[in-house]
Amino acid sequence: LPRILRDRPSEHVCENRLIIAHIYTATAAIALGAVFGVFQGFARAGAFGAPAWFDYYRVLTMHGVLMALVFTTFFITGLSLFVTYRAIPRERSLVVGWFGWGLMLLGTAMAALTILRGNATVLYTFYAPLKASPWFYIGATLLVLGTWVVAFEIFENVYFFRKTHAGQPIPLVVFCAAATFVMWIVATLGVVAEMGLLIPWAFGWTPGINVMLTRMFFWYFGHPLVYFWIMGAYIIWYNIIPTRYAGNVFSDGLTRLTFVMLILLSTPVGIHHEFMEPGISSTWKMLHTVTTYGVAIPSFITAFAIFASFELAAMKEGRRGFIASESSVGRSALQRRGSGDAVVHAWRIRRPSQRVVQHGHRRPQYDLDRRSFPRDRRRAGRPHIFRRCLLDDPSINRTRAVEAGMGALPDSTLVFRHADHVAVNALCRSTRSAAPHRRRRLPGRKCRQLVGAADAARCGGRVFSFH
Amino acid sequence: MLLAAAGGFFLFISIPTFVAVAIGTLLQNAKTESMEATFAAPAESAATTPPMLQHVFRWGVLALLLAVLAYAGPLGELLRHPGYLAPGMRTW
Repeated sequence: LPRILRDRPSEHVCENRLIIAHIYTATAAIALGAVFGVFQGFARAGAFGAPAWFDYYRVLTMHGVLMALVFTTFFITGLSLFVTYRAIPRERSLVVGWFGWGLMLLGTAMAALTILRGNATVLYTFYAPLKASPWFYIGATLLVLGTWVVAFEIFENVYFFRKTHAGQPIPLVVFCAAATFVMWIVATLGVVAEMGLLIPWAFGWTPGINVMLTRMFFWYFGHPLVYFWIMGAYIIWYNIIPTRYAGNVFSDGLTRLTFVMLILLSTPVGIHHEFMEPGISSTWKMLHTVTTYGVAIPSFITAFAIFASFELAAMKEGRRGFIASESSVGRSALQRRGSGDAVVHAWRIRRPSQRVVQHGHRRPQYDLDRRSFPRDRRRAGRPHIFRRCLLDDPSINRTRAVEAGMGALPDSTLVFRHADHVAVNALCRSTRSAAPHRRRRLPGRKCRQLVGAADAARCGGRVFSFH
Repeated sequence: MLLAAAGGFFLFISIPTFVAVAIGTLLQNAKTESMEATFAAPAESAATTPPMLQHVFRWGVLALLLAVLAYAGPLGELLRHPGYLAPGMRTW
């Protein structure tokens, strides 16, 4: 740290300081929140003789506010600034960014001190009619307003990018960050409205508070709050995690669609937190419940896209299937087929009496006269099965087989066991559905052609060609 | 309840561990001037993005409209009833 602070800063280092300030404020918040959390947990379990001054709900409030509101918010602001600054490099003033951080920190300090002094034991939902000191509410408001300043900084960079790169889409990662803050601004309008009611009431300027109204405003914000968290995580999952395995975002459009859906569907859902509250008709409660299921869709899309990205990266490395673990002749051959090349030119079908010879690994031999594979090998489409069926013909060594698989040796002969429907089906691109009894149901003319030819060959032991 | 305490303890020790890594990263990492951050590029096989998905702020306006649609009704219901104003309480 001294080294970072002492040296004359370059442009990036200046940016880094701001980002580090955000991220490490979050780290401090979670560290402090954890201390309060473990005290609270022990006290709850009775494992810790709480002294008389120990105020369970005060500690619980501190824990909740620091973990759920402060830690998450600072981390996401820091993360979003980081991706925005890196993806849109330019000469930039950091005044706005630092101002946002300062405002958030000031708000946090006000709220935290008020809680610690015992004047705001209202938990992190600050449900009326529990009445905290106005400084707690003002602190919370400043924390939110600070995030608006950060949002402004991100939007300004988006605006700059659009101005300087007319016609180009904004970088995906910046789109994600901007979408997160668009959603956040829509959502935090609720908490700001609530504070507009709570602060005058806490100061005593208004005689009382409409409890139901404040709760509705709270949940207008409180449910999207959790989407704010997951959108931060999604920024990382979509844009940063794939760089760890040299992968790609599965789809730019799908990612943007996910974030657009989160913008749209995060907010109109909050009343499902208020089933027990009077004054709201069950129609609206039901409607918000239904829309809550809508917001599951972008999460499902994400679950798909993340694993699809894993699979794309594995396939790029020449692996087949999610758990594929070794490169093999069969695999490359399959891939060439998959890419539409006519690879395998001739097949000589083994006689039933012949035995498959092992190729450099220690797996049990198959009994060719058996009608089926051993159970653990029966899984359809496993590429190693195809490889196993390749060739004990001494004239074809492994290298040549690879070349044949790649289409480099048009006259190579690939030999496989007559009953190896798995290989046949694999070649028909039906690697997932090649159980023996399903063979006939596999769709496509090419498939039937291959199977029929293989069966014919079994009788005559002849060589067949396919192109 | 003892299990709750044990769970709380395990959760707790995960956080000092995280904080230790965070602080160690801050202090021990080699300082570098080149701060290249690469973000994942879309796969080549992916379709091109429809232009309508590019306009993040327009979707924000639509989201605001949806929020108004979803809350105007229940808000109206609340405001139609006579609001019982609570003076507030301090339970602690």
